[in-house]
Amino acid sequence: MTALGLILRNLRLRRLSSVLTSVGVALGVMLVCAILLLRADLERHYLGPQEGYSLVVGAPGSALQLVLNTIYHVDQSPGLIPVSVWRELDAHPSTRLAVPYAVGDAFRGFRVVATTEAFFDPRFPHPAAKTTAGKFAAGGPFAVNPAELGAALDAVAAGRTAESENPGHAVVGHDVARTLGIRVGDRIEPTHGVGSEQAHEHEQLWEVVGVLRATGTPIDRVVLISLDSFYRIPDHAGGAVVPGSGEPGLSAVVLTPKAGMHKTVLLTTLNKRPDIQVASADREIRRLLGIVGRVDRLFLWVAVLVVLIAIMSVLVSVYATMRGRRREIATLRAIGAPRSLVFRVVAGEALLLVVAGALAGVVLGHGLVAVSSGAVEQAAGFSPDALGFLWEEAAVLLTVTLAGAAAGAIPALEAYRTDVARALNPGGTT
Amino acid sequence: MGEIIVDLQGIVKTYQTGEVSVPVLKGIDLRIDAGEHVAIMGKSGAGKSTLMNIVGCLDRPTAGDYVLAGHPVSRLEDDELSGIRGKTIGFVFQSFHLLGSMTVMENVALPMEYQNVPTAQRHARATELLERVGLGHRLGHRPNQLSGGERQRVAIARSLSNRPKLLLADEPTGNLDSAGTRKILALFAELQAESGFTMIVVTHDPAIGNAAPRLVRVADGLIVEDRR
Repeated sequence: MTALGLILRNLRLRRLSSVLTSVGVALGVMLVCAILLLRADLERHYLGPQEGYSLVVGAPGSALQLVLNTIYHVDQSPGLIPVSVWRELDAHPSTRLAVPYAVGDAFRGFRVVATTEAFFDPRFPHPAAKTTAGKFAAGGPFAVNPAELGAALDAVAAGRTAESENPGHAVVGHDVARTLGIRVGDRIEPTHGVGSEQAHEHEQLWEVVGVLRATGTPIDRVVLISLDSFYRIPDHAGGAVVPGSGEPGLSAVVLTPKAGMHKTVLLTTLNKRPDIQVASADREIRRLLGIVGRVDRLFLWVAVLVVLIAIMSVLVSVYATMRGRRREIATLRAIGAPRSLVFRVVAGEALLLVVAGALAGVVLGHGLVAVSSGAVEQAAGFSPDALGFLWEEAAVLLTVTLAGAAAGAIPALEAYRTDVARALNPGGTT
Repeated sequence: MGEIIVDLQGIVKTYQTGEVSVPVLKGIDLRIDAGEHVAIMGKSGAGKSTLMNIVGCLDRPTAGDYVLAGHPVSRLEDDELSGIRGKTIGFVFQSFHLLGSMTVMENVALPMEYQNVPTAQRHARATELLERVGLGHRLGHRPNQLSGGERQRVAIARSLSNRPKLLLADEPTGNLDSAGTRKILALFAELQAESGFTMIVVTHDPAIGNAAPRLVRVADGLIVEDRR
């Protein structure tokens, strides 16, 4: 019988304990892989798109919350700022481009952002293209009619809802179009409220005029509507007003400053004002990833510890069988098996348990990411890629295999050194 | 008789227990010819198991020379000894020592694998031996599905698989009742008559010892009687 044949027989003989020890390794490796995968996706997701979104202006409160809500479309908006702030910033000499954001609506699970044609401006960053046309997979941008916007804003300020002959226009992100099967020319009907529990329909239709190209960023999962149509939503007559002032509000303004010192000028002057705050997108995101990074490194170490404990348990379980097997090993030796064979059988058994567990763990890790992708998307605003394979995973497999070999070598050495005569006659002293 | 199978000269075995040396064999001279049937008897602690281990190449003497079937083996390395065991010696133990994970057939075929016998031949030989010991109908059974007497017959078939020159049986009937003992002893006699191997039986049972053509009695690490 070859070493492998003996190993498989031994493992089959102790089926339950073999499976359980392997499952231990699998669970540990699953955790390590899932954490590695999620971490890689998190970094790709958060570090990728923040470039170019220089400054985010919004209501006072958490700067990080403002950035997350505006750029990544997660969390809630910290509050409203008056529309006049946008007008003012748009005209500021240090501003290159000011893009208004009004959030709080959703369409079948996707967040709605009301904005203007500035969003599609070539100067506004977009990972897929540098030109307005290049940003679209189909159709094109909408444009806000200043007169209609003025009328809608006046109406909201007066506590009324403006009427318009024209339907609102919408541009949908790549994932929205793909998931819901939306095409240019379709009519959609956003609802108020981001969470499904409070959503109710506005009884108003938007015409889809464009579908954005895929970017792999949060833009893919957003429905953009024209700002004027946002203020014509009946519910917004009271709700879109800045508390206290009675002026129509915006959630945020994303500013691209002119090159040079202008970013600093905007930061220092705007942060002196009590009614607004200005956050630097990349600084907030790096701060967030710094915090998350510490936490996920902690998780990773816990997972590595789980793997180590599992490998130890393989060692213990193989070692524990040695007492019972010493006679079997001695029998093999008595009938002519060389010492190297018994070493290989015992070491191979531990190695096989560990490697089988590790391979299963990698598969389970990807499975876990796939299964939890919905929850991750809800919580963190990005959908992790369960099919991608990281080089770190290969490193994990290799390390675990080596650790398994080391764990197997200990009982295997014991088997190698078995005193055949004594093991065959446990009672006989002479 | 022609060939000398076992030739022991001045065999000494001392066990070291911490700082204390315990002499177990104190100078054994023993010569056994091919085809002999020898019983080794002695009280517990007399040294007969140690002698058996040395004769079976399971252990090495502290001093003295051992020539097995013409090959000096007392100074060989562990792996060389396992090669010699596999080729030259068949073992039958009191507690059978069958491998529980394998079938009866696989147990008997296993020693041939270490001598690189091709699979087809292994199976043919194992089948033949198991039929010979009356277990042709149990080839696919596992040892734990058999009675004690049947297990010992499997062990005997296994011990003969490589056509050994020497068969060592250590209390082969110690775990059997009297009917089982009679059957096993009769089987040994028949097989020896057919194959002509040399047989050494270690026993404390006077009936078995006295039935053997040659009786070697060990006491206190020395041979005190060698009766033919």
